[in-house]
Amino acid sequence: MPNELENRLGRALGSIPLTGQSRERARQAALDALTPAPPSRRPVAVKVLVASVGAACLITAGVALAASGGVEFHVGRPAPSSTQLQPKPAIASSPLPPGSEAFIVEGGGRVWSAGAHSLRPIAGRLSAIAVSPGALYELEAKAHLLRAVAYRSGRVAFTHRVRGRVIAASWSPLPIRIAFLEQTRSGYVMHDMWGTGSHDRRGPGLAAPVAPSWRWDSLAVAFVRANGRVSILSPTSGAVETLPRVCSIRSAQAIAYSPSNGLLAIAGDRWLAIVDTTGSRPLHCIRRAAGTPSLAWLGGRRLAIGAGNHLENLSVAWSGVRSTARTVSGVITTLAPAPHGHRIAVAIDRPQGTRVMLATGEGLVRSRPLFTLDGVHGLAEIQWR
Amino acid sequence: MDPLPSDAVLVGEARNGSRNAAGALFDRHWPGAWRLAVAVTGRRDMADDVVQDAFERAFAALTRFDASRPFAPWLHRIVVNRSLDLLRSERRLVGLDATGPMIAPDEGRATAGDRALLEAVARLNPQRRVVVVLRYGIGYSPAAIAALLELPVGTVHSRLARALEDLREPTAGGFDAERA
Repeated sequence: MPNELENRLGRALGSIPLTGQSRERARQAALDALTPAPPSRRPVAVKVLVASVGAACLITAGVALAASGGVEFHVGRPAPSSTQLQPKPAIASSPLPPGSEAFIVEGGGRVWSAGAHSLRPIAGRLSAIAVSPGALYELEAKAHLLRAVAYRSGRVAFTHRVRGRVIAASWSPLPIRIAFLEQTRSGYVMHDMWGTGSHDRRGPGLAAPVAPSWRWDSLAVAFVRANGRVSILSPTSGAVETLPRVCSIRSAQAIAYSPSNGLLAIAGDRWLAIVDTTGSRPLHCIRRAAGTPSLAWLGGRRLAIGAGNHLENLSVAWSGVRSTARTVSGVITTLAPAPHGHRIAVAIDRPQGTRVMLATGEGLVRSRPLFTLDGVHGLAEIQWR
Repeated sequence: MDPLPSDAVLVGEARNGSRNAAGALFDRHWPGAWRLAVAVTGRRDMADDVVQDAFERAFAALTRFDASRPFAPWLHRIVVNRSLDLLRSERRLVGLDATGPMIAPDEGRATAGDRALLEAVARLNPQRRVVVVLRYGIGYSPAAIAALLELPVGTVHSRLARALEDLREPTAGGFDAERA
């Protein structure tokens, strides 16, 4: 027979009012989860074959890069919001290392190749571009068409057509998968497909226009749902895990997986969260500077975040985060880490155009200008190759 | 007037892709799941996340759900597990902004003693808090709690007993004050 304390417990617990702030959002998310993607029927043998080919490509690419010794990177604007033509970018200075090359997508999607002494158009208008690991292929999105082009030979490896408009794409570190965002009438949709351009599969529900990020082992890709939460898709099983909201972040604005472990950086409006997605999920929450965030890992435990005129370098440990910050003249629009860390390209929007700097050293305190794109504003992506 | 369809019927239709049935299932079970989450986590913002996540997981796994079993305990088990996962994660936070309010009862209905009691529940360790909430907040029997948490019934009884012991001490003043 319940005693008085038990009766009071029942009454007190029953008096908790229903004031959930997100019932409708939760309802929509739950209904979206009701129709998961059809289960994968890919034969194991094919998976092994593709993985082997991907590994071979990576090794070949590594050998090729090591042989070339060049530094290459790509500057892109994957989702041009305006079709208005902008003035042709001009390289004000171009101290790129000899033999290196940069690709630039500006304004309405025009693409340019910048070398140490030249600037030339290399393609028509693109809505997104992504470079495969090892720089073997460029993935070009031209509205409804995705096309992979071998970098050296120019051979078209595959073409793939989608209904909507591709606004961002990302190769997995082992180049066997590609994640891309499609803009449709009802919203953005995340896709995952094989690196061969086949087996295109839609992600669950709708996504936010935030570039997806691959985990180092290519077995998971993080993306932002339309409700601002971060989900992790396992391309092999099709399973989707939605992370709980952390650090008061209601809507993720940028995400980036560490290149060598399961740490995932999530930038919200004023907070940056670092989440361990593999184990018991220890977290760090850091206040960040105001402005549109851009994230870049330099190795497994160093993270750079650019926002406004602040460039912050974070050393991440289990026990905490050590931070150093510097300011730049202008607004940071994007960051791009070198493949093996240690240095980072920083695009800075200034009144006369976009300046791309190379920041190095502990705390990213040393920097030198790479080049300036006169009359070009709002670059959204840089990729080292 | 047609009787409301049972959970089993709704689950069956939802598994066939009926969003209406899934929506009805959500509407029916959201209040209990949210109260459970807010009582276990002690925070409304966290409860919002837990419940959304629990429903997403439940609906995504609906095809694997044993339809011969009741839906609510399965959902509640997900809610409890997600709540405990989140609490474990939060304990490791560095530099997190201030924790939100702990369990707050309805101001209009609750007495000062109720509020003190809920504060005491929020201070229980998570294992004991879970069994207290499931027993007295949701109304499960100890045997049902044991099945839900995959624990021996004896463990549930002992956790309940110890939790009640913990609660008696800090709330004694409240009882006395109210009786007086």
